Amino acid sequence: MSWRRRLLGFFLATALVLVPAEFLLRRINFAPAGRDPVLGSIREPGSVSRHAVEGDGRSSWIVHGLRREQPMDPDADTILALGDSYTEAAQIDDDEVFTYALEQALRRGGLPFQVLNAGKSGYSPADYVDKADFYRGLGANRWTIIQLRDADLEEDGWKPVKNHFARMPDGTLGIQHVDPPRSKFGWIFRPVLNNSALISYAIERFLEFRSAAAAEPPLFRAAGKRAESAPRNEPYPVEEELELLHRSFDGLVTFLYLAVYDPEHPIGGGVTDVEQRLVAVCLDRGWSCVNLRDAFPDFAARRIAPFGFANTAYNNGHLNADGHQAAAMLLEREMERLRAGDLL
Amino acid sequence: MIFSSPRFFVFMLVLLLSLRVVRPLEWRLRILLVASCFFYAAWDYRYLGLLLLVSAINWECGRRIYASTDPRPQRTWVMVSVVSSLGILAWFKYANFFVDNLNLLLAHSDVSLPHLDILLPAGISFYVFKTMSYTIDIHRGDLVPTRSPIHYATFATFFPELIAGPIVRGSVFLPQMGRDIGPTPERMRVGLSLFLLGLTKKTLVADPLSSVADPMFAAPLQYSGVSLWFGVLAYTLQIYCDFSGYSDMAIGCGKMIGYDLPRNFRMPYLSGDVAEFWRRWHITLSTWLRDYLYIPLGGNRGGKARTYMNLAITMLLGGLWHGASWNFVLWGGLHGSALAGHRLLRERLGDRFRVPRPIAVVGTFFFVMLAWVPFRSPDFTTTGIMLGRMLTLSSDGTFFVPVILFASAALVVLAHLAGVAVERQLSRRGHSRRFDAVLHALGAETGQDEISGWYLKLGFSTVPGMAVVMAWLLAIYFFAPTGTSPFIYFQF
Repeated sequence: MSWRRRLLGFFLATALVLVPAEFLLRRINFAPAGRDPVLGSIREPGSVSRHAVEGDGRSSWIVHGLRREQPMDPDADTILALGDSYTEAAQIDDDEVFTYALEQALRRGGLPFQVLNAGKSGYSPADYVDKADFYRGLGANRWTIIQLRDADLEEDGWKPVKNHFARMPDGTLGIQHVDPPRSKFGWIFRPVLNNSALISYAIERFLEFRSAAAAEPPLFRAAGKRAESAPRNEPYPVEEELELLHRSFDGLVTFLYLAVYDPEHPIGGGVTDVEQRLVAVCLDRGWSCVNLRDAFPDFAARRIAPFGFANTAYNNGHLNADGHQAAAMLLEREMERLRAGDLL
Repeated sequence: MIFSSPRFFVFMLVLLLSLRVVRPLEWRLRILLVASCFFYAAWDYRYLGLLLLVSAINWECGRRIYASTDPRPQRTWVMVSVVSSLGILAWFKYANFFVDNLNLLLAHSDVSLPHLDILLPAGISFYVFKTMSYTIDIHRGDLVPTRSPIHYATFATFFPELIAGPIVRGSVFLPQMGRDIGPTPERMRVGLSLFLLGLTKKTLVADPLSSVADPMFAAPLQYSGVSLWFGVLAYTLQIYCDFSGYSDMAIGCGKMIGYDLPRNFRMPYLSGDVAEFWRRWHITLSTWLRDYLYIPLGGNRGGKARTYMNLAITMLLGGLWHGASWNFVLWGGLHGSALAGHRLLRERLGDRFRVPRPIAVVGTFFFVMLAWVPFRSPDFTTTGIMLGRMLTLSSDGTFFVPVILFASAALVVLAHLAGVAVERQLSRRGHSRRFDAVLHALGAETGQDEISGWYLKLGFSTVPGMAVVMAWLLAIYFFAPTGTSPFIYFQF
């Protein structure tokens, strides 16, 4: 076979594979990206993303990386939900996310609030504090829900590569702002990435493989573990972090804590140091706090878990649709309590 | 350095390029030897010396056995080889098992032995068996020892099968040492096809299934009986795809370099009885146990009772070979009992009663699946809970339906159907023009050699063939879990 025919055959085979692959990946993992002057990289406003790698979700996006099918009403009374990928919830459909369910439930109860989902994968409490002024300006903000997990108040909130908590020279807790890396050629690549699931997912996978390779054990000493980041000499100042968050939103905050679910001991199992300290602070200061643990007896009775999906693992990974439903129910109860106390 | 890690791809590329560029064969063998030592040291350099020590002991014993014409010193040197090899294996693998059990026995006394700080050297069970069989084969007259230490060291340390088999005997490997090794287009095509097949088994089936099986074996009380059946089915497929995937990749690497390694699996879950299962599962270990343990014990030559006893001893020790735990002994005991029971039935009933093949296959599969429960469980308590809940179809706990299991099972079933079609084609019993036409259109071919058996060579020459290979590679790239998880058999 001549090299020309071989080359032609190669291109033909490539087209035969890549075209169906593009269509398949659009169904499996596709999230066009946009840019926001304050938040940086966000989901493209007006786009619909698909994510079936973990769970199977279809998500709609509007301005400022907000997850919502309808446009935002800038004048409507607003409850803002801040959080990471657990609030963003790409794994489930729009109408399964706790923000949507909460909005519907409040409306049914005569509280016509607009609940905005500003969850953003990779964000930590340091980002919420850093951008508090911006977030408070979204809609007619009346209240803010901040979703937290242990990692948010521990290592994730202190990672030096992104916005993180830091001790200020006067000894108080503050935020060290870190600008995210930005490609000079983003304006060239973005149209390509936003129109090709194949290329955007290929790049995403490459980055995943690169970080996995970096985490491999050192050569010639596989039995030894890779040196982890230097351990902290002192415990994480969870109380101070919560105080800073609370203050940044003028105290109009509900903390939504996602506790660890232990199906064998749904009431008292898996309680961590962070959970104990968070619950103590909430009780001590009379703050509004919702703990997903309150729904665990119900999960145990129904023999389901709030985390994990049928195509990944049971009770491992992101919050599933049942978990979101439970969070919405607990938050609705809390919002009604706040309303009854004239706090909302 | 795991076969499915980026590091290994770089290592293999550099090695193949070196073997391609350097001309004299002896120098290429030296490069291969250094590469094998590097590969082993990449795990943990501290135990490279142990590998070389075990190899050196057996080399010297083999040389002395061959040099002597008197049977007494020959027997002495065989004993030296066996005792030193097994002694090293026992120390590194079973010392703490012994200590723990002794402490359990002495629980009511004041005596307590300290736990030893020993790290299990990677692949010790495999290379000890391999090098030990070298001296035994020389003593039996089945093998003439090589006079070249480089040839022997290359055999003893050959990296593709060093950590988790197949267990290659000197009589299989050493006669190939005269070959002009190094990559050729045909070797690369065969080797890459096998490697790709193994990589698929490992990354697209075994690794994702571990996320189903691992949590269930870790906390069986959380799951209902039906969910645990799913978990055990997931492990059944996982261990097969993990281990046979490793073997395929090892054989593929061997072929790229220029050596044929023995086949280790032949679709074992299609076995009609337990004896057939052991002729298809981890073939190089089962034949090793047969030739160096079962037959020396007397095999089936000492009457029925003695035969059953020999089967039981072989399988119990085979179970213990996998690891220092009573769970492995139980697993070996279950298989030994099944082998003895099957033999007894066959002797009593002869050809008068035959179970239809499909029912026999399903029955054997269920037995093997249930036997994996003690094999995978960390202790007897977990084994008891799992089996209890599964067999009573307990409704306590979560009913979890893992979608990923069904997708993986479908993939394995399809692959087995293709495998059966190829085997029929090769045996000429079910020659099919349609099958020929499909292979031809894909530019693929079947190949066969005496050591590795049959294999499929993917097509890189036709458009559909190239498209299949490309789609295959894309599937691995997009859907394989990131991060390299060790192969299950590395712990043995």
